[in-house]
Amino acid sequence: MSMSICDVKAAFRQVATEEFKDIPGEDMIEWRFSNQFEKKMSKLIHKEKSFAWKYVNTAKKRLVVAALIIVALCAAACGVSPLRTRVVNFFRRVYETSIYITFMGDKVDSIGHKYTFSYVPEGFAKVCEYSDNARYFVKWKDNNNNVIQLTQSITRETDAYIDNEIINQQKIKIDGKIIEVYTFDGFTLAEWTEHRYYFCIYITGKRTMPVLKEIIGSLE
Amino acid sequence: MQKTRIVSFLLTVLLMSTLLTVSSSADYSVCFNNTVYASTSANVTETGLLTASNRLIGFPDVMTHAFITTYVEKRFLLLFWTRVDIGEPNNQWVDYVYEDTYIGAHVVQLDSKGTYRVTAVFEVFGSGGPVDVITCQPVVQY
Repeated sequence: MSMSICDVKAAFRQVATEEFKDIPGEDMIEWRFSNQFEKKMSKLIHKEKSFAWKYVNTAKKRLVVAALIIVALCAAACGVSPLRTRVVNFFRRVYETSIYITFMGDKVDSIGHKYTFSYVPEGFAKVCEYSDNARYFVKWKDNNNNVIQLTQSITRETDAYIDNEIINQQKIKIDGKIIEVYTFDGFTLAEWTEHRYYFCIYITGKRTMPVLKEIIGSLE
Repeated sequence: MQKTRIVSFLLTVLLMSTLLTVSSSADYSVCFNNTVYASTSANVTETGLLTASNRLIGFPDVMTHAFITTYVEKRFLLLFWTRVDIGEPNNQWVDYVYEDTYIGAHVVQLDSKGTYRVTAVFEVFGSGGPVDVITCQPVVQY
């Protein structure tokens, strides 16, 4: 028995109809998307409408954007001084031969009020006064050529180095201020921050610690 | 592919600039044979007048003399510095110091806004040992 191609096709159609006769039609099936699916789809549609969608629509793009944000935050954190800080503190790096000093906090960039000592030991007289846009300097001298030199510096852009090999170091406290004191044969150097300025006092000759405290405490 | 390269390049530039901001100008190989204290302060007024103020204290009876070389540079392309014309030979000020304490300043009128770096090189001679070379580099914005 021979069959034409039309007969074969008709046979296949008949078989297929028999197979699927119990399956309901598309309009007869009741279907409902789950809430989770609905939410996800509405989120996706919402995202597609966003202007930033084209920048974050692939995993690679998202990664690049996240990296850029992290770098920007790091740069901002390093570049912006802390807004809440209203005081200036030392930032010290101690090396084998020297101490490097710079400042952090709410720094000042110009000399406003010029500070001086209301007390210097007997015999000292003011011999020199100097100021520029970044510093104020006063010098007292006695008959034995001993000197007291006070330097008031801005803290915004000041770099300083102090010897860390030869001179002896100690910390003292005067009225809550921490003073770094450096002593060596024949001179004393002390430095501290106050009123957001950086102060440094250099004294030659033998001075006892109470006298140094009295001098520094008289800053006004 | 080209976009990825551009993004990578930009990221590298950003990271480099961040690292440069964080890194300090401190030089930890400084010698202090004759020097007690060296410091530089820099200030720019609203009108662009830059002041570079230097302070030096040497060991009494040890320090003999010192040269302080000061110059100003302006930053360009984030990483490079070019020296500002201050109208002096080699565009730098040189101070000769023969006392064991010194304070002094130089001023220059800046003609454009930007980031400026003051470099002061203290060369301090004396009987304490070889010459001390101390570099202070405050950076200011105008």
